[in-house]
Amino acid sequence: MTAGLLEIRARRHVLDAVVDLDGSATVTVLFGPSGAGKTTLLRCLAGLEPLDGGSIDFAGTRWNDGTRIVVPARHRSIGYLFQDHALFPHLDVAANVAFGLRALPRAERPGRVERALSAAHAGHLGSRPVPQLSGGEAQRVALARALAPHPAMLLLDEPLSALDSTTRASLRTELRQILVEQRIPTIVVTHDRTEALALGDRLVVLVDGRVRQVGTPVEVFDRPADEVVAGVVGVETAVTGTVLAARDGVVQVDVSGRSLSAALADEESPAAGSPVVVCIRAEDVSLQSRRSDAVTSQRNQLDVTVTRVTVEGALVRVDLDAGFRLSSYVTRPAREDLGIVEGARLVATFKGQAVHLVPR
Amino acid sequence: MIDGEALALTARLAFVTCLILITLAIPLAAWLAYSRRRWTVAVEAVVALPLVLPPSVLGYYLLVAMGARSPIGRWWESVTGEPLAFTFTGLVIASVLYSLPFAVQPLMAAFSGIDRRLLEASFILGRGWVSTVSRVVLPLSRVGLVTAIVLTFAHTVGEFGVVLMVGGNIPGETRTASIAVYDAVQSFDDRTAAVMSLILLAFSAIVLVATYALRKSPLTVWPRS
Repeated sequence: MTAGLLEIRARRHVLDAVVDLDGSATVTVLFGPSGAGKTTLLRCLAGLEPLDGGSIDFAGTRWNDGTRIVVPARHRSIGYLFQDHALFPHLDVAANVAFGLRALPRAERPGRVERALSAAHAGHLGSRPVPQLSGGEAQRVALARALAPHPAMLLLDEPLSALDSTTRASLRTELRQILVEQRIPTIVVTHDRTEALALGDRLVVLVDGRVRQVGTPVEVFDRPADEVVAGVVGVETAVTGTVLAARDGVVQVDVSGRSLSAALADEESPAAGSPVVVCIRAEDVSLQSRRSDAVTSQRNQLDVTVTRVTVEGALVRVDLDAGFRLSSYVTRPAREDLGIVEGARLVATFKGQAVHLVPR
Repeated sequence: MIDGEALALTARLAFVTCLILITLAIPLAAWLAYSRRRWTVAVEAVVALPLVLPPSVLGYYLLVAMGARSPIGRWWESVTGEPLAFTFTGLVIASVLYSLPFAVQPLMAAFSGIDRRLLEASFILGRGWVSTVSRVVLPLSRVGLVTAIVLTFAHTVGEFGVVLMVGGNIPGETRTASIAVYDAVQSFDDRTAAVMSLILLAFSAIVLVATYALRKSPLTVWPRS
């Protein structure tokens, strides 16, 4: 697969991004609030829209020069997954997947179609007419169609947003597996944290057209570079953990030697031993003194040490060391009652429902 | 009683016009439907002009353009050795221009109705405009295509003013069925006028019923919504 350096410079969004699409970081997530121009950027990358200035270079070739499209969409060798699939309704599934294979000798096309369909876990759909596909099936077929010509780069525009929540959850993990197997440099645009955590090897945070932070999803979510990024990703603990056991909708997860309980909503329970990203939002974590014998119904109780105290408006944000980084919001009176200062030793409690697991 | 020669000529004219017009109208309609340039509006208006222009006016300008005193007429005569005005070829050119909106507008309406993302998907999958129009746009515009063909054919069969101006009334060359009706009335040949009119009426009615049935929706050619 061609890997390379993607350089984007655009005037409208003052965008300066260099995305290194090497083999080690396969999936790059462009993350930002809705309306930040993420889709527009993806369309410019695909050659569907001109830039208003600046340039796009891919692997040493200039694709866009100012407002001029130097290499048109059909010569960019990219796979593009549209939000609403954009399958050709007059062709069946196999013909849709074969649509991009005109350069391939006729005899080789059926085999390529079959492999692309099975890579996208849609092997059984071959002869189905497109209008009869469900949302999840259509998305698999669209992915197979994008994969079939062996593109140099895959662009996914909010790939799961058009699906219902159950399909989205199951396809999310699967999509990650497919993308890793294919080893095609991929750029995913999303405003969904779970999607970003589940799919990305690297996260690029875009705010107002500027790249604010680049890092692994866990790094960015766990340690936002500045307040702007924190505002976009939310104050959240995001750490990697391993599933220990799952029973009756409750999952035990090991995080840095601490065992946490997570209550599953309606998602499928992850298998023991599988890696997950554990997310805990600061507003769900409460603090109490270690001496307190108040009985709590909360599932998770961790001994923590205060590492930093920051006043944020009416609330006080308390950063904690629990073997991993954890944050909590408390009120100012609570801060005084509990004597929260750096180095103070407390107990952090939070419900199982507050622990959000994202399978990887 | 039945002017078979005129009927055959009319059918030939309509067939040739249809063939030329559809080949011309598909790229033109695709360009008008998909171009983002603002001045396509002006081209759209020019294409629609024959709808509102009196046929005699269109015929007059065509006659001037084709005549021996115009550069076009002279060039044609020097190349082919034949004049353009008052010939079948001239009649075909006139018909093509006169029926242009009837071919372009149904196609444009159908083309504009196609989700633009499908076109973009086709480009990204390596197809150019020609391939995209023939593999994606046309298969999804079947009704528009059939409407365009039927309307062009029927409209060419029914034209009168332009034919009279450009073609005159030369049997076997430019004397179409509608001219034959006019001619018959002028020479008090009531039977021929009645029979020829009935044939044209029946033809038009059948064509329109077929078109309406195909579209299953009210047929509006102008203005385009």
